[in-house]
Amino acid sequence: MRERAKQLVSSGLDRAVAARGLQGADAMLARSDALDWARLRARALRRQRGVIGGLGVVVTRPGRAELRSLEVLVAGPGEVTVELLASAISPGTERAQWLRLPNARPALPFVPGYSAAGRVVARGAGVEGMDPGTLVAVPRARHASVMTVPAGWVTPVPPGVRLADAALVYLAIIAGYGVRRAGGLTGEPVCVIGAGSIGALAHRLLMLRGPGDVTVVATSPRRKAAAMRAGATSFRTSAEGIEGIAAAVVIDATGDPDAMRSAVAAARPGGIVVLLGSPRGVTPDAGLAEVQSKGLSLVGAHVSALATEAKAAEVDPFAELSREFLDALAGGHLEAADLSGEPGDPREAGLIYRRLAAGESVLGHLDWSLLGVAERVRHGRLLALPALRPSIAPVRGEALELRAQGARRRPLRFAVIGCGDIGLTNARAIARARNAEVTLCHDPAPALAGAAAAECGGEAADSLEQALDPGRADAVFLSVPHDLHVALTVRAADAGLHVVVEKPLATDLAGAREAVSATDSAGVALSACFPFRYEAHVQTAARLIRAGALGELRGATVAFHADKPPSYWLGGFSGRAPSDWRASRRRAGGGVLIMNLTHYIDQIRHLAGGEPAWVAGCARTDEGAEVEDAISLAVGFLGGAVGSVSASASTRGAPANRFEIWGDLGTVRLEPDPAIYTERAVGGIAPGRWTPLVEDATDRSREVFVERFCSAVGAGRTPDVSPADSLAVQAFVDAAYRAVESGESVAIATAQEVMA
Amino acid sequence: MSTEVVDAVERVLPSGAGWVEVLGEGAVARHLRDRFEARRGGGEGPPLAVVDTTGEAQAIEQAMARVADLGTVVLAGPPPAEPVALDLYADLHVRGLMVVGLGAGGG
Repeated sequence: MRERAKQLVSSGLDRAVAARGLQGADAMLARSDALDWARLRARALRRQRGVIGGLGVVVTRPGRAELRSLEVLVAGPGEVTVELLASAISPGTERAQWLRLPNARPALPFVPGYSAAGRVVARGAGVEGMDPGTLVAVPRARHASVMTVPAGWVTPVPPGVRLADAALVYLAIIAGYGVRRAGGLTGEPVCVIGAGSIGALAHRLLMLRGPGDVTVVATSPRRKAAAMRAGATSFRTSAEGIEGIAAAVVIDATGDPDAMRSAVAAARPGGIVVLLGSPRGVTPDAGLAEVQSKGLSLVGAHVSALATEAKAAEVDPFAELSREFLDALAGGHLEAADLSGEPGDPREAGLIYRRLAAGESVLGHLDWSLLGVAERVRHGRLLALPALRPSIAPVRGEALELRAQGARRRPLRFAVIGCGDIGLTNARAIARARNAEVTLCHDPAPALAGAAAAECGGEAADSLEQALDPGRADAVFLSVPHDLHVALTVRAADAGLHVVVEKPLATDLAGAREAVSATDSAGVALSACFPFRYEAHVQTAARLIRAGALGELRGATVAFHADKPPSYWLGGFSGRAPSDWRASRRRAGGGVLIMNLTHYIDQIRHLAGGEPAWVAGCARTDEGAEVEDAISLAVGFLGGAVGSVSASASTRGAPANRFEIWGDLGTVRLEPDPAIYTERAVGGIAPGRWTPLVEDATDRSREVFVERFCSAVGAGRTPDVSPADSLAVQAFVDAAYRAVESGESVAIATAQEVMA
Repeated sequence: MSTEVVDAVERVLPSGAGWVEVLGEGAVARHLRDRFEARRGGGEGPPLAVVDTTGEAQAIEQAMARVADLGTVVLAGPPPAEPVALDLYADLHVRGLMVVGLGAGGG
């Protein structure tokens, strides 16, 4: 019967998890959360206790940690519930767990942590002297904002002791036990090998016992200053060796299985070697021959052994060691501020562990007060339903923030040159922009110009001369075949008109340089239309990237797919303006690279500052065609990031594009399903999870582009998409085509080099 | 010589209750067994101390495996001729063992 009930619960849970689209590790996590939820409530009902909620760092799978909701029972008899405000990071153990080293592989998911301090929020019956509000040190605490523990575990924090320092209490108990196992130290020469948090605490605690000379040995000379400040007589790096130390007591706090030989060698005959750090792995030669020949005592000092001792002890040795540490702090006999270190944001636990894993020295603690108080301790959770998946608030787009505020005194007047498909799109964007208007439309096909003017405003201009009349226009928007871009830019500039060119700036780099020179000389603005920058989710991504969400750029992936019909090559998608210029290498400058991929190159530069430095690749061109149909490029960026950029104009079925940019701390996916993942607590998003970036259903990116251009012109500043930006993209295109032709990688000129 | 070793073992053994197991078959082992007759066997659970008189890696590993948590292993034999590989975490650290060498020569 009971088995049957279990099966029913299990299958019901599986269905609920599957219905939410959770798979793999996420499904396991949801299952585990739901079972925890049920078990806790069963216990709450059985014991007639309330449930209190908070947040905890959860290692959900190897290499992933995130902040998740957790719940505990409110304190019962002999217990206290503590709002944890600081939890110490134990670099040795937590690094080992993160890397899943031998002897450090807790079952996943697990809440890491060791030691903390906080404020009592509830106490159970029979607990004396722990009024709510009492500050306490909590050994065996996890990295969580709330915890219920036996009252005997906690020790009040004496006045004047920083909570971050008190949070080291369990590490101090461990270190103090190692010192205690060493026996009498007064006047004896001592050597401490390892100067991480446990080693440093052991050193500082043994100094309270009046040792003789103390030698500290550490891998890094960076530890020297702290060791000497704490009273070491001498300091050596591991590389300097341990010859001549001859200590009566050696404390090995390294956790390195190979350090035992050094520890044994550093002990004088008859000495004691305390194994304090937890070795991760097998020691091929534990030095027992030397232990025997020198008459040494080799002593294991692990907190589990202390727990065994505690069973037979009259006075709880944990409480004794805890008080000894806290009293030493309060009395100013022991400094720990350098060990409690900098406060870390609990939301960034994954990042902190990554730094630990990379071998960086991370001495610090998680500061739970950085989270909102309402998140840290949530009362009355008994009736709360389980959350099978964490709620992730998508980030709304924010391109509208860039929009012009109010109309200019006089809108910038545009002459729209070229009124085919993209020309009409651009004319519509101008018409919708708050600080621009269409005054003239020109196209060799008068009907197209007339239609654009009828829809977007202004008049149809019969000739180019009429369209370039500075009395009736302030700027031109060129949406013409690529080979006309430069000539028309020069003519417009000569007429004193600002110029917007539907990308690219030109068919080649020489032309782009000429366009920039002409507008520079005329003192008018020039910008290539790269409007994707202004899509709402791209702007959100830009804000988060600026805030540090990606960290240092590491790479980018672009896979662009289109399934352009044969008619496209004879008149674009609509066929409104019949012309085969797109199929001409001379007229278009190239195929899918110059036509489509340029948008992505601009975005990589704009979003992540990725400056392409070299490119190599290959392309395929249909027999008889002049422009490439598909291209695949390997790109190297300044700073060492790598890129894989490919495009095809004839991928049958046009599968979804892929566009991702990543750094050492996060990844942004712009296509498909825009979302961002970061280990940083930036921009109000949850680190360690993918957060969707909401796309704007009514894409306003072109009109935002127009408004931003007009605002720049009005303010006399360089447009957002500057001539240098346009040149950089053109330089990339130029280098990519040369790389494809030569079969070799080609260095990409910077905008400055192009103009030089 | 045997008496000196036995005295040395006596000095390093933890005082109080608990029984002692001696590994080895030589004269030293016999003397130790005689000396610790009252603390041999009969106790519940694993021995509080194990004295190895062989100096062989396998016997030392066995001594560490048999001794109680927080117990003592006395190396009373010659220094091991072969390196003794240990998982120091599981074999010694977490159990709070003490391994005591008697000094040059041993038994």
